[in-house]
Amino acid sequence: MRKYWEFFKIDFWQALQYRSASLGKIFFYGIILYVFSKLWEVTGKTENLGLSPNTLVWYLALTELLVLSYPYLHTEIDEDVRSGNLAYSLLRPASYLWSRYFRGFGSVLARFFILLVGGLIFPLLFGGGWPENPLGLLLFFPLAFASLSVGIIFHISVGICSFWIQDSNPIYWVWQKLMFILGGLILPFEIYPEWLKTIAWYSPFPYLLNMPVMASLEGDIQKALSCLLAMAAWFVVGSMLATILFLFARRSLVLNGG
Amino acid sequence: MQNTIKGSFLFFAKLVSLNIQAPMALRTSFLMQVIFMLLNNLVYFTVWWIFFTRFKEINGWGLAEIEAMYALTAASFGTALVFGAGARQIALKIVHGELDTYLVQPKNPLLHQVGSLSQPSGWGDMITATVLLYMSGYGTLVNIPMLLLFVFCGASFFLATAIIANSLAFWLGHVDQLARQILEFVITFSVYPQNIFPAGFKVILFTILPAGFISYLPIEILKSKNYLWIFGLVAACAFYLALAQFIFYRGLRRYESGNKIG
Repeated sequence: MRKYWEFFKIDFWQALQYRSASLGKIFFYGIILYVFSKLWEVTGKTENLGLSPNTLVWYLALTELLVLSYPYLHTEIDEDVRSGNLAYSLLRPASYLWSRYFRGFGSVLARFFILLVGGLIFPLLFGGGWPENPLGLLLFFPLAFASLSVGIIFHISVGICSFWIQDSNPIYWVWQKLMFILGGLILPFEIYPEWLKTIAWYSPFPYLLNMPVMASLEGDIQKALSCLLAMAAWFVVGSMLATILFLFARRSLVLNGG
Repeated sequence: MQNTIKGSFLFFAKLVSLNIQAPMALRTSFLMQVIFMLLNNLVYFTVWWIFFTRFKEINGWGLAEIEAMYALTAASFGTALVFGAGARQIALKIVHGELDTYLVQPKNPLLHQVGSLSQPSGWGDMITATVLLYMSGYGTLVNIPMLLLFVFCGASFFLATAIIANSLAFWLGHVDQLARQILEFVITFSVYPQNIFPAGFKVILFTILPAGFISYLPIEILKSKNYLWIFGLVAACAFYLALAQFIFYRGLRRYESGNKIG
């Protein structure tokens, strides 16, 4: 386990070094929140949303914080496959899959902490102050770590597809947009039609974005615990998927001579 | 002068046609990029379909206008990717001293670099645009010549922005991440109706980040039928292209070779 902790630390500290890229991300994060705060301002005047414009800005701030934290893990796996580095990694006394997982988790957490600065300042600037239940934000941290951890394992599965299609970017685009829609990145589920909500709850996405964020904004401990349970179940599913995909991928690598 | 322009045009057309065929050689990869980009765009656009089930309009803009706006942005960006994806690599080429290949040839180096790469996913953007324009009701036969002009101008704005942002590498060094981010800002602001922003912010969207010209102004022209604005749009497009060319050649004086000819 110690070796995986070292993998985690390497990528965690490395991700903290890219200061200019981080500043660019924080700026982009601010721009997105500004655009949507204006959108909710305009629509909030004319329709009853059920949620206040301030809550909607906080909702978007927290969901975006989670989504923007993900590194381009799939392209790193692509590169390992293309360059042949993967063959060397297989010789090491550590599982390629889990070393990638812990490196990815280190990287995603570092990005999360960098973006968190914006995540706390921007909603105060563009919304209308703190959320109605500010203490609920404390729930967000354990839920966010669990969400990112589950997201990373699925992200790795997307990257492993590069064994068969050379470039996993196209699959990543669709995975990411499904996360936006079925996870409720931009619009909270309260706005969704019933049929789409039903489809969404059969996928892991609402447990990665909508549910942890709503549980935090509502300060609902019961909801937070249910969310953690669901995330644990999806983590098992994601790990099994990544392991099976990797086993098939490794088999083709061995057959082709590495 | 006329011969130079004609020669440059013919050279660019030939270069692009060759580079478009290159990714098509890997048929599966090409088709996957096109199909998945189409899926990516349509899944993303679901946000607006859901939004308009609850809201009727955003300051006078309905679903049709948003569909047309998204379509124009997708078509413009897709065109820029298919015909000039090389513009996004200028910064890296400058930093690594890899522009030499183009500088020693008797052709326009900027055109050569811009047309040196074609991105297949751009075709997926163009198909998305066709679907959304048809759905919006703005894709009528009467509008088609104007829409083609808008797409040409939109693609030019994207290319000009990419050239300007990447050319900053002549002065600042590693700016590829920054250049990518600037282009993302332009895309982001092109896919939201700009009538939600205060006047001061709109000024930025018609100057520093030319996002307002890519989709908002064209849709306003079609909506209000105020066709005189087309001249303003074309003039702005010519200005941005000229500015991009000026900045690139000004920076080229500071270029240091990496001795990587061939």
